[in-house]
Amino acid sequence: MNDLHDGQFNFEPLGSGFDASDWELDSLLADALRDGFIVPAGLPDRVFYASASLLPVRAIDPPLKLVGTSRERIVVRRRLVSRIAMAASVALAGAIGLKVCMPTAAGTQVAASDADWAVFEELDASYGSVSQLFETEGMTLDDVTSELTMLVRASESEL
Amino acid sequence: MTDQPTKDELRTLLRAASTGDQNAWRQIVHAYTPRVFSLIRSHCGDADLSEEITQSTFCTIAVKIGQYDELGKFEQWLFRIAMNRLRDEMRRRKRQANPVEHDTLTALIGAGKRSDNDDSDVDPVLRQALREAMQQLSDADQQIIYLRHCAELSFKRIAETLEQPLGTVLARQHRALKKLRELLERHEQDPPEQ
Repeated sequence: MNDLHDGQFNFEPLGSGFDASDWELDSLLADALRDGFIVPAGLPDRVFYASASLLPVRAIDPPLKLVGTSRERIVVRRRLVSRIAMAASVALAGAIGLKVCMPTAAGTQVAASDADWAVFEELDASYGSVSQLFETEGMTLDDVTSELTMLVRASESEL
Repeated sequence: MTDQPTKDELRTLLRAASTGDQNAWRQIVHAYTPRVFSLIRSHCGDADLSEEITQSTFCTIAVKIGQYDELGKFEQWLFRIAMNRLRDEMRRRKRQANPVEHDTLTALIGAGKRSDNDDSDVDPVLRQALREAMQQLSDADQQIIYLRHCAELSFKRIAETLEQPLGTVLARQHRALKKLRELLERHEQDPPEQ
C-alpha cells in the first residue's frame, strides 16, 4: 500500500434533498480539501511500530510435551487428533446450525453425546476457542481432516 | 485511495489483531492511517500535531482491541477516538495559550492549511476563499464536512460516529453547504484587498 493518498475519493454522493448547486459545491469541497490527503512518507510504519507492542499478547497454544515410549506417544497423539477432529466438527456444525455430530472411524456421523460435549468444553478451555482457531487459520473441516490424517500416518510410521 | 479492506477482510484482520497478530495490525494501520491523519490535519492544520494524534489514536486502539466487539462499527470507533484526542489536545493548548487576536488566529490557520499539493485542479484563490469560509462554519458543521471528505465516511457512519440522528447530520450538511455558498458569493462580490 502506498504512503501517499492518491486523491481518489470514496465518499457517497449526495442523495435526495440536495440540489445541483449543492452537488457542485460538494465536488468543489472535495477538490479543495484534497491536498489534506498528502500523508507524510513512512507515517503508517511509524504508527505501526509505536503501537504494535501494545497489542494483546498473542494467545499461544500450550506446548505439547509427549513423554513415554513411542507407542504411548502415538496413543496420546491419536487421542489428541480425535479430540481436535471432533472439536472442528462441532464448530462447523454449530456454525451452519446443524445438529452437533462427530465423525467416526467408519466415516459416518453420530450425534455428539454429553461426554463428547464435555471433551469439547475441556478442549475449549485449554486452547481458547478452537472454532476461532480454525476460522482464523481459514481452515475447513476437510483441511483439518487432511492434516490429521497425515499426522496419524506419520505417527504410525514411527512404529 | 489507499487499499481499504472489505467488510469481511476487516473482520478477519480485527479478530487476528485482537489476539496479537502483528501482521494483521500492520494491515489495519496502513489502511486507516491516511484517513485518520487527513481528518486531523484538515481540522488543526498542523502536520506534526496531526501525526502525534494519529499515533496516539492507534495506540489507544491497540490497547483496547482485545476487548473490542466487532459489530461492523470499527470506523466509527476509530474516528471517534481520533476526534476526542484532537478535541482534548486543542482544549489543552487553548488553556496554555496566551490570548490572540481573531485576525491573527485566522491568518495562522490559513498558513497552517497552505497547499501541500500544487497540482490541485482548484483555483488557488477559490480554494483559499473556501477554506476561509469553512472557518466561519460552526465546529459541528465543519466536523461533518471533514468526516465526509477527509475521513471518507458515509452519512450513516458520520451519524454513528457523532452519535447523532442521520436526519440531523443531513440537515447540517445542507445548512453548511448553503452557508458556504453564501460566503463564497459574498467573497466574489466583495473580494478582500490583497
